[in-house]
Amino acid sequence: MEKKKNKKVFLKVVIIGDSGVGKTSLIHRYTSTRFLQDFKPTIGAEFSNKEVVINGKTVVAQIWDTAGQERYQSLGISFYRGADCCGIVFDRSDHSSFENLDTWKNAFLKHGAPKEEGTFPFLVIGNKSDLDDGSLVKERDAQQWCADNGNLEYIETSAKDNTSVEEAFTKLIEKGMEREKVNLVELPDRMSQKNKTVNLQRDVAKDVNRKPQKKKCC
Amino acid sequence: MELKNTYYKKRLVNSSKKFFKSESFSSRKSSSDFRTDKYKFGRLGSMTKTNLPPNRINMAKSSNPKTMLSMMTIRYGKTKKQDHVLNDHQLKNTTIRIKNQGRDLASFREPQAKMSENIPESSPFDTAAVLPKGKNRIRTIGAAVGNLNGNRRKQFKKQIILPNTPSKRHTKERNSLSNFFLLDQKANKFLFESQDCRAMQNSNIMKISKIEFQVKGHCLQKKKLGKTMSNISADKLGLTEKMPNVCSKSRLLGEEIKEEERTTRNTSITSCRPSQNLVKEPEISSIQAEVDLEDKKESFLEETGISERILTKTFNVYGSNSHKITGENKSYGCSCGKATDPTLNGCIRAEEWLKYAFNGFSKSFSHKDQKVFQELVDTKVKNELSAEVENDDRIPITVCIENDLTRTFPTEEYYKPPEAKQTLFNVLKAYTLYDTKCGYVQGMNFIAASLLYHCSPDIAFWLLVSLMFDYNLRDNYEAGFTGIEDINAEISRLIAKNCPKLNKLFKETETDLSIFSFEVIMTLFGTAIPLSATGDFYDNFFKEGWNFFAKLIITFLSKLQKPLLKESDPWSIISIIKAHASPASNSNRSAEIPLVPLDWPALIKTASTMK
Repeated sequence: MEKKKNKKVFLKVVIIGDSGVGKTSLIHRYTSTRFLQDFKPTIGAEFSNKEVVINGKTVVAQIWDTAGQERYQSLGISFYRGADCCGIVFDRSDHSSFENLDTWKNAFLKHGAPKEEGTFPFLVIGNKSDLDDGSLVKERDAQQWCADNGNLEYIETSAKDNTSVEEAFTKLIEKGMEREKVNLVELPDRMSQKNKTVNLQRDVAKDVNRKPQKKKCC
Repeated sequence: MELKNTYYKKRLVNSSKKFFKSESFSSRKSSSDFRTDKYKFGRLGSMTKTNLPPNRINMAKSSNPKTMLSMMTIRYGKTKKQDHVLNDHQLKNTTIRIKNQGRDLASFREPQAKMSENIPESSPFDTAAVLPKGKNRIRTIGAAVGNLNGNRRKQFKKQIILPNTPSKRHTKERNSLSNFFLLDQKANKFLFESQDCRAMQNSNIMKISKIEFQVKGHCLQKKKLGKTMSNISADKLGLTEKMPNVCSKSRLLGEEIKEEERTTRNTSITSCRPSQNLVKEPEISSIQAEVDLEDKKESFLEETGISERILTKTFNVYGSNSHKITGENKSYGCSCGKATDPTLNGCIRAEEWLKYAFNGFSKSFSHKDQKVFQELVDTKVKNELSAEVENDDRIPITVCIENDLTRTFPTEEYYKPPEAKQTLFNVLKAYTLYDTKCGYVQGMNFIAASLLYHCSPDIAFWLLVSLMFDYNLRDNYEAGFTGIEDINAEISRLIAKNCPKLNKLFKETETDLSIFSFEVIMTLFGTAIPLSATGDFYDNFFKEGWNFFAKLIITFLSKLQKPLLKESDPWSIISIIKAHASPASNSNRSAEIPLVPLDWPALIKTASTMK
């Protein structure tokens, strides 16, 4: 058990996309398994942590919810950096949000400046699949876009109906883990190097403290 | 005398060079100068008895025309490139400025004429010629007299209307070396005013009564001229009824000028003249309306020592006839329970806010202002709004606003009915059109909604405008978010000063508070404070500005000190703060964070008594 704890992986997942496509709803659905009825627009950014076990590894995913309005893109510098994977969300019932995928991807690469520009793990998420009135963005078109943009993976979700939300995030986290094959404690730059280790040390320290205590008891 | 003249010239030329070079003309620099702690926060505790926030006081004290200009640039949202086309309301203000030019140009006519030889061609002094000569000149000037107060009008008459008998005072001034500074200052002032003339010269501002077309040089380059001309129709300004002749003339003239522009790129000033001739009649009528105002202005000036020009502007914003904020159109039931009279368009609070808003000049609120608002609301915008509005956002702003309507105070009953949402939409739309450079940014919706809770839409709109421009909120919303940094710096300074324990904690864990503060700054606690308590917040905010904001943050954080001090991880610290700062927050609601019950009205009270 303790060995596993040491292998805890921290991942930063960033969710971007136009305003009102359902980023917050998706994240909320995933982290608290509820659908949000009344909520406010995200201003700046928010984060929430979720601990999951994937392939036998405990992963703490720090999911960053970002503001959708374009003005806030320039803030990305502080929020995108250090991301391990990125989910670009669009609203399937709103074609303009689909057309803006390009812009979002480029903005992320520009502001987040990941090391591997070509291969950085993105996941394209088409949300609001429940609003099917025949005018949704077609899966074919979305797949086509993904193929044209470096063979990205595409998934259709609905935060309202809880369709494939879990799947989408699992995929994201897996992609992030592939990228971070080394079991590094990855925290965003803003919280400095020191903190990167603080968390780990804390866990280790606890473990270390427990061990001798147990021994003493025995 | 010769020597003096050269000295004067030198100074004038220098100052003009300096001025044109200096970036103070561009708002970015000047506004950032402005945003220094001194202006934005004042020194805490340096609040004076006047109850005016520090930035007001500075404004009042400032006699430096440069500062004043930068204030104006901030206020009117000129940017570095100076490349925006003023919107209708701003155009109106320009009218006043140009009217004033008539006066100032005239009063500096003499020294200027002598000096113009030595001054390079591009100098603003050329613009003296803008004033038509002969009969027209006198008549035009006569129209401008309407803007002068009693004393100055007399002086004006002496100097200008009877140009052959220069006043003794004028001559004296020029002869006395000790008055050089004064003259220089005046000349400086003149420079600013001539700026507009310069713009006029460059771009052929056409001026017909109150309709003005400002077509900047860049528009011309982009061949937008024709578009701009046709876009600004007289109907939009609601003037068609009043002056059908003038309006039709204006259109014709618009065509003429278009032709002229094509032929003469570097237009001579003379091309402005035809428009000058048209000015006289409607303006004379407006003189009458403004006569009553002049006495008030004077007493105001004496009281505050504030530049007349700013005053003129402010009065222009708020119209010339003073009213209480009673609404004849519809009664507005304020929801905060502080409405004294149901026919009032806002509660007693909103009235109080208006007193502080617009740098304390907004004691009057007129139908003019309601009209401006109404015009903005009625302006039809299609989906290409984003193209019209000088904003780089891809999504049409209206769509963006609509998206946020249901998400503004989502849990409050007050904003559930569609009518309430529509009103909120109108206010935000009007602001987007009013301030095309900045436009709508998420976060404003909370501020507008908080204001709307207490007053009618038009007042809410003007209060919002005042918050944006006079309380520097605009810096926070503009691309780059330049204002945020300063506020954050101030917050951390105050934390270090007032909450040493928390400061130590934040330092040790290297917690970055900006993740939390950003939202609070952008919404002015809109996500934290329940709608019913926002009135308390704005009561103080209008009084003290960002000073109060910082105090409230400190009060808020010290309230959370207990749970915070148990933590040692920056993320949990931020999570705790965020969970409290936005109880309806998007994240962490599910988390097992025990919430400390916060009584916001009490918190606000504590903060307001804090020193």
